[in-house]
Amino acid sequence: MKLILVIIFFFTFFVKYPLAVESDPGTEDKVEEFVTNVLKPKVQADTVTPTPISDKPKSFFGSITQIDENIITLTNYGKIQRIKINEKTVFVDLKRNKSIFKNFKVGQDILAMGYLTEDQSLDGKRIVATELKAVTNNNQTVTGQIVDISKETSIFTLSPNYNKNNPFQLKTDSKTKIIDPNNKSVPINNAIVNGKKIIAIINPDPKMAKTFYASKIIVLEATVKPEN
Amino acid sequence: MIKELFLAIVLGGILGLGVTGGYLTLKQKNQNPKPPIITQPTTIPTPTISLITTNNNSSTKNLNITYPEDNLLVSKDTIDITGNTTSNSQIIINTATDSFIGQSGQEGKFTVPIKLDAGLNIVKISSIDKDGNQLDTEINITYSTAKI
Repeated sequence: MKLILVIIFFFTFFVKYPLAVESDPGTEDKVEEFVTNVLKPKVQADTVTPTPISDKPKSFFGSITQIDENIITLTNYGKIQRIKINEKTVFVDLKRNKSIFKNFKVGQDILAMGYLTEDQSLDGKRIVATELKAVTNNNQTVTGQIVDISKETSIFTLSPNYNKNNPFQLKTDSKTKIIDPNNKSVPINNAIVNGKKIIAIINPDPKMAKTFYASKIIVLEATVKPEN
Repeated sequence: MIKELFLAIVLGGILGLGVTGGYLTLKQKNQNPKPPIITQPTTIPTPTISLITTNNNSSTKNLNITYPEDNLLVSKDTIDITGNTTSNSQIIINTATDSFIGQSGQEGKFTVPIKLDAGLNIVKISSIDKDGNQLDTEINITYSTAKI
């Protein structure tokens, strides 16, 4: 009797188990549905012309590090940017003549113009070969106090506010503009005075080491004794 | 005999269903993860280029450029650089060939018109407050009349 009960119990259990497994909804259908409804449209969208996310045109400048079939990869101060090109992209060489994509090589500096896309790449409309030296901006602004003036040359020493232990040698000439904060002209004798606080726009002098040429000087206030 | 048989079948069925149901529940939890949700990226808002630094007095100052955004391409050779910084500061803007001067107001806002060179302009912007503290930032603006 007991044996019969045990046999029936196990029989009932194993009848239910395989049926239950077969009736599992199955993840395969769900995966297929996901691929059809989500992934496929996404992949198809990537193969057509990229959609710009802004109507404001943008430009990327940098050195070409990689060239693929229709993508140029640039780097600029470590920042990597991608340019997508197509048959409508215009290419211009260094002499401003129309060129072709094949003429652009890794290492070439370029200025790419176009529109930003959703994946932050540029839909390249115009690619212009550019030399870095042609776009470099060597001007810099420094503010400080005049601490020494040469009696023989037009060179004076400026102690910058950000580092008083590292003074600049600045040079002026007849083209140097000297003004006050209201943009009014100031005579050079009233400006280059020991103790005067100024803002100078300078760039490296190519002829003299550790000397900068001051293209513009803004005189800030009346003469103050130099701080030691 | 019949009663016992019937009882055995009923008990067996209940136990079988219970075990099977519990097994299925556990299986569904472990093997059926939710598919990843792919959403369309939202439009990237216009970035504000800003620089925050501290001076010797340990107070925080900033220089924000609200227009133009970095890497903008324009078709005119003049543009207004707008932004905000500490109040009543001298604003100096340098391109490769020229420099432009302005001043921030009481609220720290400034607008300085500048002239661009053809092609890429690396524009350096400096703000110097009354205490002589200087903040610097830089943006790229390209001036081109080519049709894009």
